[in-house]
Amino acid sequence: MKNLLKILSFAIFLFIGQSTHAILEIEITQGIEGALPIAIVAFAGDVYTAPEAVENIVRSDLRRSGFFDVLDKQRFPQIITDPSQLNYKTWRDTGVESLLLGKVTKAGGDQYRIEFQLFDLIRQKRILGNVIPASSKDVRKVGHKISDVVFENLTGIRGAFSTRIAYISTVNKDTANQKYILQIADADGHNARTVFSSNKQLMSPTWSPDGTRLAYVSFEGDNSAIYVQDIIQGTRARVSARAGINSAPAWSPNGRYLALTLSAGGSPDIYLMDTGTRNIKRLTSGSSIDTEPCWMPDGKSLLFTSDRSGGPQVYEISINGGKANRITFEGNYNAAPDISPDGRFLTLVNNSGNGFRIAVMDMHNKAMRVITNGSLDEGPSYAPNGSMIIYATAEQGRGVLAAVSADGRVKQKLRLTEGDVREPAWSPFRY
Amino acid sequence: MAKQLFYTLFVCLFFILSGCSTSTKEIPGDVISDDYEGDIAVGDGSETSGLESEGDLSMGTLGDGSLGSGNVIYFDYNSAEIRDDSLPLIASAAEALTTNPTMQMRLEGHADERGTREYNLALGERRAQSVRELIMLQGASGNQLDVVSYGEEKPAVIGSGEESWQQNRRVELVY
Repeated sequence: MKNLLKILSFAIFLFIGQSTHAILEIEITQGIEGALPIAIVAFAGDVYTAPEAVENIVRSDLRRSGFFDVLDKQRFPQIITDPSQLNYKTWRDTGVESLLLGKVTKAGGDQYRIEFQLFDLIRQKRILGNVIPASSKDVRKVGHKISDVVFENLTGIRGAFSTRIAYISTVNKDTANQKYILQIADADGHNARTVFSSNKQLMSPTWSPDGTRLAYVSFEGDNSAIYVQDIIQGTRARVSARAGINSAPAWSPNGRYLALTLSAGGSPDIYLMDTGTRNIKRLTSGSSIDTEPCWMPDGKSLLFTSDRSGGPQVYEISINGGKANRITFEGNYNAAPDISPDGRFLTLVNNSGNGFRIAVMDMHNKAMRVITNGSLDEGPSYAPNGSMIIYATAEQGRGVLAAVSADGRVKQKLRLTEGDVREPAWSPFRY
Repeated sequence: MAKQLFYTLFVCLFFILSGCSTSTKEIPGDVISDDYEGDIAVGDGSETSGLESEGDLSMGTLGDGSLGSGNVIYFDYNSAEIRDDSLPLIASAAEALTTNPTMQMRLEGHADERGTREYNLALGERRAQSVRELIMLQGASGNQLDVVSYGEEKPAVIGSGEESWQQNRRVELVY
């Protein structure tokens, strides 16, 4: 790992402070051994020392990713404010190979110019230099954007720091005022926004591939029904409220179809709904439970959970129907599949006797690895770049979200300051 | 005793739950603007209705312990098989329905918190369906029985451990 990735030294000079309401709190519970050192230097000039400083947003992003480690400020060999002062050798001597230099200038009113430059300390040259004009309210967005650019430049993997997470939270649990809330937060847990709330149960939020709509299940009519909500306009439409179960919506990669679980035909089966005409087509049949459809990235087949062989296992079926092929065999409970964006790995809920845990399966050799150690872990969802998996877990009887790097090495928890949180769904790329 | 059960069920006929909902296509919800400008209010997107009645309800005494204990049928883990100890309750429900062809009963299926939410939603329905089938085998009409599943979303008891889980793996007979 150390050889694969460049070491980043990181100095951002930033000055915009802004208070936002952070509803989710993030705690990194397990980091990578031998992570790559990064130095993050706070500018000592006219700087707001708020945690909202871009410097801190980028530091937090890169740290959370598990690919980078933050060099202690005490180890910085020099204080620099301009590339001309950069002493490549003294920085390299601390073990870092790259350095990010940032600068913010006021451009009048509430407008700022945020410049950043990335230097390769080994080759002693600048790798990139960019400027982002922004107002102070966009400070988090700018920070995530810089993280995306730096991450992609140094790892070759597209950054997913500008993405978001949808989830269901419950407040006033077990009281007459119990509320179920569908929220969207930035991928780092900040900026949590409510998009829908109800005093009846909500389930299974899922993103449209363009990131503008959410499909989810609401019990507001005293039975499960599927809704599609435009998260920008706020309009919502009920797309299925048949007798029995209406649940587990999943968008096709081209956004045209929703895969659903309906039981109007007798038992829970997988259906495809054309989102334009709302016509449905049945894909599975039989008395077994068939649910939790998940599209393969090419849109030609679906994975789903079925108990046709006894306990729940994951199967694959063509969108044209036909025979479903079983693809999980390890453990007596494999359910809720989510495929990595490149189609190489499958994450799911596995129980092999030690509780319900998140596992990752290699689609080629079918090797399965359990990557969490809870007893009630569920709802795994891949980041759009495949680097992390977010899931729900219980912590002292309380629902919290947790994220784990796809290789299981980095773990973090996201806690709501109030209530329970569960059923995370990671958004597609936004830009 | 059967007569007493039937009488109890008959009295409860008046408490039929209606599960109807609107068929509105576009419902305004809370708006989230893409540029995150300003505060977004937490709206109540659900449509709610006022209380139906201001008068007090009359209440009689239940004559039988098994029906008085909540009309709940319990299940084993990951199973929808009706246990022997539930047969008397199912028999009395079937008798009430066959004697009163206009009677409606709603079977609400539930699961414990273990396993995935969607699978548990399906499992809750399977449990309610197996109750429905058994009641129908004893003469009730399918039209009298509505099935709905809440999966693990509506636990009877909060808490982890078999004691709680057992009480949550259930079908409630609502009529």
